[in-house]
Amino acid sequence: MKKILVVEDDPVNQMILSDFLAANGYETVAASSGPEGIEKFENDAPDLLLVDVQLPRKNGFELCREIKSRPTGKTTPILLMSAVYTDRDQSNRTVQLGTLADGYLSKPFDLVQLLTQVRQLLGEA
Amino acid sequence: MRKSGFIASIGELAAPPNRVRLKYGIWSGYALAVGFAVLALAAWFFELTPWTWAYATLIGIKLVTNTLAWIGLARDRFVMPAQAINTVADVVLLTAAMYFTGGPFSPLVPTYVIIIAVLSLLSNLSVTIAMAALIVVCFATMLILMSVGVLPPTDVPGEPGRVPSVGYTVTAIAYCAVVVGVPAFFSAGTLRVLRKKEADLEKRTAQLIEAATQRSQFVASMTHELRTPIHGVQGLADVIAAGVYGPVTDRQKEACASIKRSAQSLLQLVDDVLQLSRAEAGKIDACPGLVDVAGLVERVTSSVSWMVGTKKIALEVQVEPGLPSVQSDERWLAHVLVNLVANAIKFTPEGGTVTVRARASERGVELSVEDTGIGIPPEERERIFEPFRQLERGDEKGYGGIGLGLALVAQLADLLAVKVELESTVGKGSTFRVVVPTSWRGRRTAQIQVPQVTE
Repeated sequence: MKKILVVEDDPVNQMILSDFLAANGYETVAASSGPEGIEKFENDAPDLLLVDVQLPRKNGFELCREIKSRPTGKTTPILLMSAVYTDRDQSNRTVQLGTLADGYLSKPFDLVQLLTQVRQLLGEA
Repeated sequence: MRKSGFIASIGELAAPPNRVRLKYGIWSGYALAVGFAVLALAAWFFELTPWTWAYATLIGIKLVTNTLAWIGLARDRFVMPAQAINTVADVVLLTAAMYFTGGPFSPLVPTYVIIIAVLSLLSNLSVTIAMAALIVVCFATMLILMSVGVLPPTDVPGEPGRVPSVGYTVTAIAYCAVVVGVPAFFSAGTLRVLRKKEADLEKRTAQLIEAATQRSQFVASMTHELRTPIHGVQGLADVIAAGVYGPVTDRQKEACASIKRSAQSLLQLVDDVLQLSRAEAGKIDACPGLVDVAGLVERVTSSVSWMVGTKKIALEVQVEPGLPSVQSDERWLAHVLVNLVANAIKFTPEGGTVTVRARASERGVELSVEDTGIGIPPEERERIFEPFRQLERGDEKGYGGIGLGLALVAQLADLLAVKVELESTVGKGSTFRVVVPTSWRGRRTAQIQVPQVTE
């Protein structure tokens, strides 16, 4: 069973993502902040990370950069998610994220869309 | 004036915003030195006075103190001492130059008033009054020394020298005190009031800018805070409907869809408010470029399909092949179309159809959004583009929203110079037509007006 680390500070969203992924046959681990995300990444060795951009203490971009710079994290796919409000945000984010993460979801996203991306990144599609 | 206050008010001149005034003071010092050098040369050339060496020395000293003050200011070291030496030197040197050109009868006497005028403009009340006092002291010292015979009389250029009488001495000192003191006091006092007003204005402007920035930051962060729980509500409804928490009945699925729809309209409202607050905080800019209308229509219609949700509405798209490209701002044009489609979906009852069309016309490219909704009576057709307006009839029937969408459309259309036309039959539906000209005729920037909410 593939393991997914969900890094999201909002407890409700964290629950939704974890429960939805669990219901679709994934093992999930949850973290609520940037530092906790890194700690869980080291301890649980997940196959994929689902990371919110707005996180306390260390944001999603920093988390991404840090994990990708580690030898263990180089090949672990990261799916970033973030709320966007305008088209300008959207284009800025896409540029920033393109260099960092393996995939990107803008909130609110469809859960089916999430599942498709996760499967693709895990090579199950 | 208390001594500490006096020192402080002199020190205030060294503050960065006042540096430019000190710089002007130095420039005017050089200008005066050059002016005096020309006069001295003329006096020497016309053999008006035998004291040429004295002027050369005085001008030399002035250039040295002025340059020291300049270097001090440029290097930011000994700024105030160098300025003080320079200013005191001005008065002493001028008095010396006056002595060599006839003492109290010298044509240079009015120069004192010029020094005071320049000082009152470039410094503050304390410095001006101190220098006025120094001028009177220097002038009086020279006159008294001449009148008691310590200093020999000198020639006024072109005239033989005389010893001033006691009466002349007293009168001249009193006159000097008045002509120098009174303008010094009034001009510096007036300037002090003006400077205080200027400082108050600057402070007030800074406060206003700060308040506006804080407010838009507050709105932005508040909007984020508002969106997060809405996402939670939507996600939970999705997860429950997907059967993650156990089997669900069709009625429960329908209820979940309703929860999601309500949350979505709440989200739309939050977004509308955010868009307007952003537009207000800064102005909005247009970046005209080549727009692929067919692609734009496709993106917009697929991005708004969630609005339809489970509402039984058909969203049809008809794009004429081979549309010409147009020059416009893609981002804002997309906003116009999104808001029109959202509006159409909102006011179309179940079983209705919303049709988005794009076709070439002689005026450019025509986009239209047709619905089979409630329609808009003729008397309402102007008003619907005003902020916070929605058909009262519509409100009664439970069409939500605060009606910002069409207000945005009207203002964006103005920015883009696109024409928005409306055709409507009450009870049958409405068609909004947007005519995008082939070439760009819009404006570069616009200030979107934010509606005032009144009771």
